[in-house]
Amino acid sequence: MIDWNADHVSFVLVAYGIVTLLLAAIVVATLRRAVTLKKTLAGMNLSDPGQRDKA
Amino acid sequence: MIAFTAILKRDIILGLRQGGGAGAALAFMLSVLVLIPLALGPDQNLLRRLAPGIMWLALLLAVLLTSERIFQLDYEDGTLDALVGISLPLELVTLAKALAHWLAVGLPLAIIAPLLGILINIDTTALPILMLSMILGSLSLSLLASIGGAITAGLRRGGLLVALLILPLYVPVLVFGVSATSAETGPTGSFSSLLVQVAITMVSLVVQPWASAAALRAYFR
Amino acid sequence: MQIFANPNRFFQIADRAMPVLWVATLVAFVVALYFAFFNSPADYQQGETVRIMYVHVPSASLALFVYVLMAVASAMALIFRHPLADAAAKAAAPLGAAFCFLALVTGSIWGKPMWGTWWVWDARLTSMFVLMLLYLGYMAVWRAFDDPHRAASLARIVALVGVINIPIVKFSVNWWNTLHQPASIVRAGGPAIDKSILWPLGMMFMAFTLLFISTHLVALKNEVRARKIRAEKLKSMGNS
Repeated sequence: MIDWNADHVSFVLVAYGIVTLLLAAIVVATLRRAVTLKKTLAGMNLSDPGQRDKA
Repeated sequence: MIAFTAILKRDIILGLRQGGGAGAALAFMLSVLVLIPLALGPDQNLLRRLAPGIMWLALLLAVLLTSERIFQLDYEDGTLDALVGISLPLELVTLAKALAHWLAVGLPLAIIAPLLGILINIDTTALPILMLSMILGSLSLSLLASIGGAITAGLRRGGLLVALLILPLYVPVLVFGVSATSAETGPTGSFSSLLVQVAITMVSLVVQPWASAAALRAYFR
Repeated sequence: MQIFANPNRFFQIADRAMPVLWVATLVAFVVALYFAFFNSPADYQQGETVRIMYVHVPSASLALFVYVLMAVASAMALIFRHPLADAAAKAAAPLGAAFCFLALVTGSIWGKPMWGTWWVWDARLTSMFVLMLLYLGYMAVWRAFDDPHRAASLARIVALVGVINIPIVKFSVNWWNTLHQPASIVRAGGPAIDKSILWPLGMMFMAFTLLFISTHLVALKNEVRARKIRAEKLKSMGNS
């Protein structure tokens, strides 16, 4: 159990905060890019090469 | 073999001429040597302690500065097209060009640098070993520069990319180059550092022709 | 190995695995964070800052692992001309770079209370820094060329030369560090790992790995999609 009043707890929180933010940003960016690309493919009347089983 | 020496000769001559890399590299090295004491102050003891490291940095950056030229100019004027077509394997073409770069830029600087080091109060007893390690190191610097130069041959402004690609490869050369000459190592340390430098040069010799030729082939398919 | 041979088949399997992977990633992170914050002791020497290790170590090992993966994919592209290998390496690079960046940043944040300084030129930090440069160089090559085929062929070389370079850098930096060893602030071997630390570390490691696999799969599919869009655009430009 973490002792919230101990020394340097803020360092721990900052470290975890940066890790969470960056990893979340990357995941969100990748998923958003997938959505955009899917839309572009649909707009061009192309099948999505990333989802073969539904074609 | 005739083709190999012909490329070697041509590139050395071009490199030494005005507009070639050699002059620019030497000018760069001289400016570093003039600016360093101005930046760090004239303290003789401090300069003496830093001198081998400074000389190595100057050599490394001077070689890096000219690395773009190894292939780019030949790519632009179409010489590389001709060189890809000849019977000599492209690997050996790139090796000849890398060696020419060493003979025109790296080797002269490696010989001149320790002497210029007198300007920053370099320890003169260390001069022979510094020269030896620089001659050896500059060969691997040129070989590695050729890899970066080949990858960016077709880029008009490849300077930043070339630096980014080559710097990680220069880390070991720099570390062992400086450690051969630094006072902390002593004679046995210098000797083993030199041996490692030989090993790094060997690895560069093996990797360079393959990597440079493969990079150039990406441009001529 | 066979499933990689056919991209269609590979994507079919990947698509079915996707939801499972995301759920597993999420669960692993929740469990790992629970262990990291509420079910592990503070270190008697490092205090609460030891908890930074749980994200630092997985970041660092994944940074290395992803680079090796990139190099293997590049080698497969070079030798077998596999259609997905280049895309796999390209998709992995930003993820690896992110892990590398996180390893550097969390290391720095850990270092400040422990060593009293944000950065030391320690052997491990220095080689991590060089690894970061390798990642940046690799990604810069992909960006520098308009022609994706040319970029792919050149990026392969960068990845492979880089992977030869990593152990040499590691060796040289160790050598250099023993040469310039300041007052020893970083113990070479580190303390023996206690079981109470192993759990959160292992869980976090799994969470990071799962996150990498899921994100990498989506990014890989994105590459394939982008490639198709590009090919179609070129085709329609040729027609008009």
